[in-house]
Amino acid sequence: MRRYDDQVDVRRGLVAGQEAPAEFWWRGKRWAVRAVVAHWLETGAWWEQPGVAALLGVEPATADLRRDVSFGATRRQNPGFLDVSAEGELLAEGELLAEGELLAEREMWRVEAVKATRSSPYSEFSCRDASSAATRRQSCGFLSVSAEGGFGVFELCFDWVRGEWRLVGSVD
Amino acid sequence: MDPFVHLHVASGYSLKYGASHPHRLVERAAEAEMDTLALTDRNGVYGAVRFAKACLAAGIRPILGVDLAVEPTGIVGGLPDGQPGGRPGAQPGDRPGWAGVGGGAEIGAGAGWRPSDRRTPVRGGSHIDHDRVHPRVTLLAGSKTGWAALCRLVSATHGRGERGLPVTTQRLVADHLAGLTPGLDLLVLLGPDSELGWAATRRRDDLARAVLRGWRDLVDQASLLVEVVSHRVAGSGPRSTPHAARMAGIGRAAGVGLVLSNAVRYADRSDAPVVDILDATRRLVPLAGRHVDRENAEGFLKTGKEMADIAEEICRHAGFDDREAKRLLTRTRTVADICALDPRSDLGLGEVHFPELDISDFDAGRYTGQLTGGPLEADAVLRARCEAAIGRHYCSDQHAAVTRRLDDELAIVGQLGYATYFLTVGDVVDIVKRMGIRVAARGSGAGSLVNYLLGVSGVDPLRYGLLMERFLSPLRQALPDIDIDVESARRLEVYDAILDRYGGSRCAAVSMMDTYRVRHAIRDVGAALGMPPGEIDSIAKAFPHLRADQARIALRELPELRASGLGEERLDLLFRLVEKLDGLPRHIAVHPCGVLLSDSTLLDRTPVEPSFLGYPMSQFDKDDVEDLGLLKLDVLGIRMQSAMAHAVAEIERVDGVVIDIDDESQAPRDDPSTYALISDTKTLGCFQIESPGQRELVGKFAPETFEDIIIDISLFRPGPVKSDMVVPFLRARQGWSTAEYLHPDLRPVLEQTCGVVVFHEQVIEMIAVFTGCTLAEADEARRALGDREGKEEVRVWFFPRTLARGYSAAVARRGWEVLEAFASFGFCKAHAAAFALPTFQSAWLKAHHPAAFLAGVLTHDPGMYPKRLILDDARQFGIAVLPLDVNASDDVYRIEKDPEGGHGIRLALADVKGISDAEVARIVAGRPYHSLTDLWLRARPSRPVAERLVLTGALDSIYGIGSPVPVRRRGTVTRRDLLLQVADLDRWSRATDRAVRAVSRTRGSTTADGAPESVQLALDLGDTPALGEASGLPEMSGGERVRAELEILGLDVSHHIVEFYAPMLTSLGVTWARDLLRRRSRSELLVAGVKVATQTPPIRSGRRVVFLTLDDGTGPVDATFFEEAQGPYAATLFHSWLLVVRGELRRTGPKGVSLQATGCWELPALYAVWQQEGVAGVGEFMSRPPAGFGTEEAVHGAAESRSTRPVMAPLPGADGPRSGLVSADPSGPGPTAGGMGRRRVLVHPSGFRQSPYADVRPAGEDVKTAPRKLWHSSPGSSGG
Repeated sequence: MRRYDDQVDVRRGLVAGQEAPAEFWWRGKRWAVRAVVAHWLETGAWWEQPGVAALLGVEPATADLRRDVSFGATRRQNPGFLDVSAEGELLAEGELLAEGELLAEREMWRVEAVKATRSSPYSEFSCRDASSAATRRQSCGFLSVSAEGGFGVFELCFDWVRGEWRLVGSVD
Repeated sequence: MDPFVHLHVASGYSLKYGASHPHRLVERAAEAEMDTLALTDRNGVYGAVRFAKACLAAGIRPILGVDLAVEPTGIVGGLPDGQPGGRPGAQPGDRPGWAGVGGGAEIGAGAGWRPSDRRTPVRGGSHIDHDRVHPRVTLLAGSKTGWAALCRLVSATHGRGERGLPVTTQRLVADHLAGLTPGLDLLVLLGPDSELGWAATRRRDDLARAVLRGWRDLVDQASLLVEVVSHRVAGSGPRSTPHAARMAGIGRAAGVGLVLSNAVRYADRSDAPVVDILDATRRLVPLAGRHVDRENAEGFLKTGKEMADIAEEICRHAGFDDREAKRLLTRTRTVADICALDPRSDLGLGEVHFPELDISDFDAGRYTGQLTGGPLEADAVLRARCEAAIGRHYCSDQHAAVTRRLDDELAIVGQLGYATYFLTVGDVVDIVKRMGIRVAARGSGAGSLVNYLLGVSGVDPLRYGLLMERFLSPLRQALPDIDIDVESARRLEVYDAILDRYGGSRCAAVSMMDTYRVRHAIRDVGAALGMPPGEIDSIAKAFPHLRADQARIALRELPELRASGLGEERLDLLFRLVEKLDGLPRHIAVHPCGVLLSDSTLLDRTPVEPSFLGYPMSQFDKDDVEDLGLLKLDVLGIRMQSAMAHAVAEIERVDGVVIDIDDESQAPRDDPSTYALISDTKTLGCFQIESPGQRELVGKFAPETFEDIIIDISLFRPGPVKSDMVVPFLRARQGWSTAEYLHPDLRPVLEQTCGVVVFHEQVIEMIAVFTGCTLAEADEARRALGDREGKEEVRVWFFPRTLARGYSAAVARRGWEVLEAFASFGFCKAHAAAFALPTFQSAWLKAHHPAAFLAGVLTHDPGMYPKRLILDDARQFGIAVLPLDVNASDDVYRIEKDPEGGHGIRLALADVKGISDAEVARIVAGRPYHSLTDLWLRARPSRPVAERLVLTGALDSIYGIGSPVPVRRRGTVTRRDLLLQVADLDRWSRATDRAVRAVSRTRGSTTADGAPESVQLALDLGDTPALGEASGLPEMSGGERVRAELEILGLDVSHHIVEFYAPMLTSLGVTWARDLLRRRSRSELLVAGVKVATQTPPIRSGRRVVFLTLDDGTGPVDATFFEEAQGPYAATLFHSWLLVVRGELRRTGPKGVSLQATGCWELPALYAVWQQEGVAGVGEFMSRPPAGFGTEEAVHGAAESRSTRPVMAPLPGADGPRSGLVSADPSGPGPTAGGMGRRRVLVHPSGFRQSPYADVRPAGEDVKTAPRKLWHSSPGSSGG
C-alpha cells in the first residue's frame, strides 16, 4: 500500500446505489469511482494533542506542532504518526482544539476507481461485474494493475474538521 | 414519528461505561421523535426506575433489559489478535486463566494448559481485563412476567462467583427462561460481543453455527435473536460493517431473527471523550489507543434515517437483496413493540404495595383469648396490643382522652390498611430491645399514639401536643415513613436480626449510588490524562466538596481558588472534562439505613446483589424504591445512642448503679441541673446542641423545660426565617416585648411559642381553627401552601370559610399572611420532639455523669468536633485525663475512680495510629506487663506500634517515667531509652524467628511462623535484650511529647498545644476564651487557638459566610468571616491549623459572644516574627495586607520553564530569580539566611500555584505538617 497525502477535489454522487465520492481529480487526472470497497469513520487520539501536552507540562512528541492529530487506522501500525508533509497550520503553543474538534473525525472511503478521459468514462480494463462484495475484493487483488494503467483501489479521506478531501493511500 | 427503536443502550448507570444519564437519552429520543427506547445497562438494572419515569414524563414507551457477561462455552477459542477468550474444552463453570494481554503465548485451540501456568495479578502476573475475557449477551424483558424473570436472573447472576464481577451462564439464563412464553416474555440478543461475534471475527462460520446450536438447545428459537451492530469502524473486527454483515449472514442462514441496534454508550457524539476517560478509569490505566474501546464516535443515539443507511450498508455488504434492509428494520420494530412495557402496570410504578405479611409473624397467639373468635386480623391484633399498653403509660383519669385518640388513629390506620406495617415496625423494635440495644424513633412518626403504645416512640404525643395527621392522613396515598435510630456500633447486629426474622426473600437492604463530584472527577480525569499524582492531589484538595459541573464557576467565585492559579487556560481542558463527568454514577454501596420489607414477591420487583459485607442489597436506591411502592424502614445507626449506651454501661461497671435513662423516674424531664448546663452553653458533645450556632441560640434562649428543647430544635433553621421567627420569639420570651395573638381563639395554639408560629402542627391547627375543617384537611392545605398553584387554591378555599365562621376580614387577611409566610418554614413538632429526647438524655448524662458520658462520646465520636476538644472540655469539667497505659487502657475509653471520689477518663488503645484490633486484643489479654520485653514477647505488637506506645507514654507507669523536669537524676530510664530497646528487641526477634524457621524447615514442619502463641509469661532464658545502662539521652521535652501525642493519638494529652505559644500571646494581649465574656462589646481584640471546625452554612443573601471555631485550652471561640473579610484570608483560614484571629466582639446573649473577624494569620508565622522582632514587628506584619502570591509574569515565567518539578517564582521588586528565597520587602536587604519575611511561591508546570502558606517553614505548622486532620470541616470548606 502506498501512502500519499494529497489534496483532491471530489464530487459526490451515487455509486452503485450508495452515496459516495463519484469522481475525483488527482495529480491532474480525473478518476471515476466504480465501486465502494469499504467505508469507515475514525476519530483521533485526542489525548495526544499538543494542548494536552501543555496540560501535562511535557514537550509534545514532534518538533512541528501541526493541527493534524494521529489517527486510529494508523494507530495500530504507526502510533504517533503525524503527517509531516501536510500543509497544516502550526498550532500556537498551548492552543487547544475547541470542543467539537476534540474528536476530529475523518471519514474514510476505500474505492475502486478507473482513470476517466473526457470521451470514455471507462478505461480499457473493466472489472468483472461481480455480484458479491467478496468476489469483487478478490478480483481487485487479482488484477493488480498499477495506477498508471488506469485502475486502482484508493483510500479517500474526508476530514470533517477542515472540510477537505485527501487521498491517503493506494493499493496497487 | 420515527419508527426506529434503539434496543441496546447503556446509560451512565452502567458503572464507568456509559456517559449519559437516562433522562438525557430520553430527551434525545424525544427530539428525534422516537416513541420507544430501551435501556440495557451492564450487569444490572440500576437506572431502570429513573428511566421509566423519564419515559413516562416524555411520553415514550420504555423497554427494559440488561447486558450481562456470560461464561464462555469454549467453542470459540479466543479472539484473534492474541486477546484471551477462553480455554477450549473448558468447563462452563470455572473461570479461564490465561497468559494475558500482550503477555505469553496465545492460547489457541489445542494448546496445552496447565494450572500452574496461570499467571494472576496476585502473583505478579498480568493484568486481567474482564471486559475481554467474557462474552456478553443482552436480555430484553417483554412483559411483567419477563421483568420478574429478569430481576431474578440478575439476582442469581450476582449471587454466583465473585462480588462485583457478575458472570452468568447459559444454563442460568435457560433456567430463568423456562416456563415463560417463548418470544414474548424475555428475549436473548447475541451481539458482536457475544461468542457468536467472536466466531464472526475469526471468520469461522462452523464455530458460529455451533454456538447458535448450543443456544438453541437451551433456549427456544423464538426467544433468540442476533443483534447486528455497525459503527463503521475500520477493519473487519466487531462493530465494523463487514463483521455485521457476516453476523447477519450467519443468522439468516440459521433461521434466527435479526435486529439492528447501535450499541449506544453516549447520547451525543461530543460525549465520546468522556467514554474514553471512563474506559481508562475502569481499567486503571492512562489513556492510550490500546486501552480504549472506542475507535470512532458513532456509538450515540442515532436517528432512524442514519440507522436505515447503516442497515442498507450492512445488507449490501452481506450480499442480501434490497428488501432485506427493510425487513431488518421491520423486525427491529416488531421486537420493540413486543417488549414495550407500561411503567404503571408492568413495573408497579406509582402504586403502593402493602406487605401482605403473614399474621403468624406477630406473636398473635397471645391475643386469641381477648378476641371473640373468627380469623385473626391485623387490625384486631394491633388494637389488642395498643389497649394492653395503655395502662403502662397513662394513669386512669387520662384513659378517656387516650381511648378517644386511639380510636381515631386506629380508624385511619384501618381505613388505609397499614395495620401490618405498624405491627411489623413494632415487631422490629421489640427484636432490637430484646437484644438490649438502645432504640428510638425519629421523624413525624413520633406524633402517633399507636407508635407510642407499641413502644416504637418514646415521646408521649398527648403530653406534648403532637398530631397524628401530620404523620398519617387518610387523604394522602403515600406510604408512611417511620425511622428508627439504633446504636451505631451494633447496627449490623440489628440488620442480621431483621434478616433472620424475615428471610432473604422478603427483606433486602437498599443501595445508594456514589456519583462523581469535583474531587473524584479531577482525580480520575487527571489520572487518565497522565498528570503527576501530586499535582492531581493538590488540585483536587483545593476544591470544596462541590458538584463536578460547578468546577469552573467555583474557580471564578471562591477567593481561595481564585488565588490558587487554577484558572489558567491550559487547565481548561481538564475542567471541561471534569464538568462532563458530573453526576455519573461511580460506585454502588449499601445505604446505611434502609431496609426493604415486603411479601415474597420482593425479588420479582427488584434484583438484589451482595454488598461488601454480604447483605443482599436492592439495585435501586431509596427514591427508586419509594417510586416502586415498596415499603422501606429506615434503621439508622446513631453514634450518640452508642455513646449513651457506653456511658450507662460504664456507670454500671464502675459505680455499680444501673441507670435507665428512658425511665422518667430516674431521669426526670424537669431536672434543673440539666437545663442549667444547657443554658450555660456547656453543651460540647451533646446531641444536636453543640454546634456554634446552636450554642449561641441556647445561650440566648435559656431553655427550662422539655418543651423548650423542642422549640429550640425547631428554631434552629437556616436563612430567611431568622428575622421573622427566631427574633420575635426570643424577644417575647426574654420579656422585651409581649406576646401578641392575632385572635383570642389562637391563644391556646400559639401560647407555648409566645405567639410566634414555629411548628407545622400549629399551622395545621390554625387552619383548622379558622376554617373549621378537620385536621387531615388542614394538613393537606398546609402541604399545598408549599407551591404557587396550591397556594392560590388554598386561598380561594380559605377566605370564604373563615369569613363564614365569623372572623373579621382584617383578621382573616392577617391570618392568611401569617400562614403564607410560615407554612413552609415551620418545623414538624413530632420531629423535634423525637430529637429532643436524646438531646435531653445526653445533656442529663453530661450534667450528672460527665466522665462516663464523655468517655462514651470519645469512644464513638458522634459529634462534629475532634476528640481533642472533647478531652479539653473534660478537663474544664474537672475530670482528670489519665494517659495511655498498657496495663490499664482498653480498646475503648473507660472511666476510673480516682482517690478523691471523682472520675478520670482513661485513654483508649484503639486511638493509637496504626494499631490493629488484633494487637489491641492481645495487649488487653496479656496484662499485666512488667517490662517492655514482656510486652514485646507476649503481646507481640509490631515495631511501629511498639514505638508509638513508648512515645505516648504507655509504658511510663511501668518504668516510673514522670513528667519532664529540668534536671533529672542520672541513670533513670527515659522514653528514648525504651525506643532503643524496641529496636534491639526487633532485631533479636527477627534473628530468632529466622533461626526457628530454619530449624522447623529442616524438621519438615509446615507452620509458617515458628514462634508459639501463648499468653503466659515467657520463660526468661536470659538471652533477651535487657535494658542496659541508661543511655544518658535526654528525656523528651514537653513540646516533643505533645507533638508525638498529636501525631499518634490525635490528642494533646499532656499539655495543650497553644500553651507553648503562651508567652507570645500574653505579650500581644491576646484574649483567652474564658475571658471573652468580660470584654466590652464592640471592642477589637485578638484571639488565638487551634482550628476545630469550619462551617459554611447557606444564608439568605446567597453569599458565603465562614464560621470558624478555635480552641485555646480555656474554651471554644467562635468567629465569623463575612465576604469582605474572606478575600485575602480565605486561603489561610482553610489551609492552616493554628491561627490568630483579629475581630470585633459581638455579644449575642447573656452567655454568648462571637467575633466578627477582620483578619487571620498563621500562629507559627507570627511566632517566628515575634521571636526576631518583638511585638512591634508582629504589629507591622499584621497591618500589611497579605502580599498575594507573586505577579503574573513571575508565574508565567515559572510555568514556561516547563520543568517537571514545581518552580519558585520571585516576587515583585526582587532582582530576578535566584535560588528562590527572596525577601518579601522589596526595599529591604537582599536574601537573608533564615528568619523574617521570606516567601516562596511554588508554581507547578501547569501554572497551578501552591499557596506560600503550604510551604515548610522554620517554625511553621500548616495543614500539611499538622499531624493529622484534627478539625472538622463542613463540605463547603476547602482544604485537606
